Amino acid sequence: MTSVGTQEWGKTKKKKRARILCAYFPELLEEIFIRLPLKSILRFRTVSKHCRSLLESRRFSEKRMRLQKNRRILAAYNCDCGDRPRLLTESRFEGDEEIVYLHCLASRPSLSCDGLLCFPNKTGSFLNPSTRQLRRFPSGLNHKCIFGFGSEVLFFFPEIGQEEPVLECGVLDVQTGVWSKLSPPPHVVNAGSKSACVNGFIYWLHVGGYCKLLALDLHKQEFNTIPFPATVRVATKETLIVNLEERLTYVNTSKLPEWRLDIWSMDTDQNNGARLSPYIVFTSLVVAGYIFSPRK
Amino acid sequence: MSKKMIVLKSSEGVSFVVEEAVARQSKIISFLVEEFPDRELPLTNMTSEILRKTIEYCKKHVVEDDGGGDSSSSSSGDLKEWDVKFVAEIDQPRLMDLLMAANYLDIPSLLDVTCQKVADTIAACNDEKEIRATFNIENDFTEEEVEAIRMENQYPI
Repeated sequence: MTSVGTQEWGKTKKKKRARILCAYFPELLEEIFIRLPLKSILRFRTVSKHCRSLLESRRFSEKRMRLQKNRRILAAYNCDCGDRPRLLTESRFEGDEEIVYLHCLASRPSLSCDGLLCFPNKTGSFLNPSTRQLRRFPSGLNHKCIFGFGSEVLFFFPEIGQEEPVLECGVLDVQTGVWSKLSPPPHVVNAGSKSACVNGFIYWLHVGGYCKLLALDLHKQEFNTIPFPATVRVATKETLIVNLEERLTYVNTSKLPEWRLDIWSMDTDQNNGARLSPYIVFTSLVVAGYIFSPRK
Repeated sequence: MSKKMIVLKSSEGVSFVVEEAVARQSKIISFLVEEFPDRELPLTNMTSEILRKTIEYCKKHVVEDDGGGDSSSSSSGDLKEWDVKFVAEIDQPRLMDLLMAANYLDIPSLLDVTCQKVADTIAACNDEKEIRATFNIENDFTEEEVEAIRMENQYPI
């Protein structure tokens, strides 16, 4: 006979069932928990030690992220009350989307990648808004730095014009908290330049005499400089680089002669794989046009 | 061509004749059918009631595979609506049974629907006491520990 199992589930009492569920099917409990909204996850943390360890495990947070992709929105609002950044305990639902609020000072540097937030300062703080897990690592950073964040790696190097002669570059593995040193980049980038992480590369935009992109290959831990093609309009300090649907995208606004927004995205060589080709040409134009004209 | 039927037997010994395609949504049954063809499969840990429910779900979700691509009998929107109604009509203890049955028989979509329903029930709980009661979990935290965790949720970064 191909008999299966021993419990007669249909007959067991309610309490017994629940106990069976918890004791014998921890993976089922996990399956249920990953479908909970953030608010309930916070509550469940104080239910029992077992629940807490389950909810705070890396495995759980990854599973939940995978399941809930495109379902959470992090809304950050600027507040200069002087308090340190924090997540509000209450989240709001709009349809299928859960909106989590971050209370922070906008001028304070923060970086995000793959649903993780990073607040680089003397201690690198990493926050996963989907589970509210916070990790802190002493970074030993005692000067202003340029930061880059991607694929759970925080990278930093000093800003241009630093008085300290040491051009020290470091990479922090968020998983392990281990710092490692890196040979310096071929050139520096503007102070406060924000990074974008796409396909295993961290990019910084440098705006100066001529514009260029500094790319860090996270896999090889090597820098590359990518010149801007002449066809792309000159970047300004307001130019942003972002990851838009896994493509490096360059967003530029110019006000004269008319208000104009250009969005260019990187063409990746499908044969070589995007990861291996840092030689980027901005060729595909997503949007280029007049958004509106200022009122006369 | 007539459809191949298989027989599933509940713990009470009640036989259910099901189209093979319907039953094959369970990866376990799919495996058993290949290992033991032309045999009735005794599911000694499933009551007739739960087995009937499981079959009802599988019948609705069966995908006719006619060589070229999959074509479901219902649109995905209709199915979703049906699923919601399906789990809404089941009471909590039976829902747990169904969830465990889905896990045991390895029917991913049914597991998803039932887990979501249980999660929704938990989400509707007012405090952790209610959650403990629902799942019969013992509180092994001290008052101070609970307070410390609550504070942590306020994360200053």
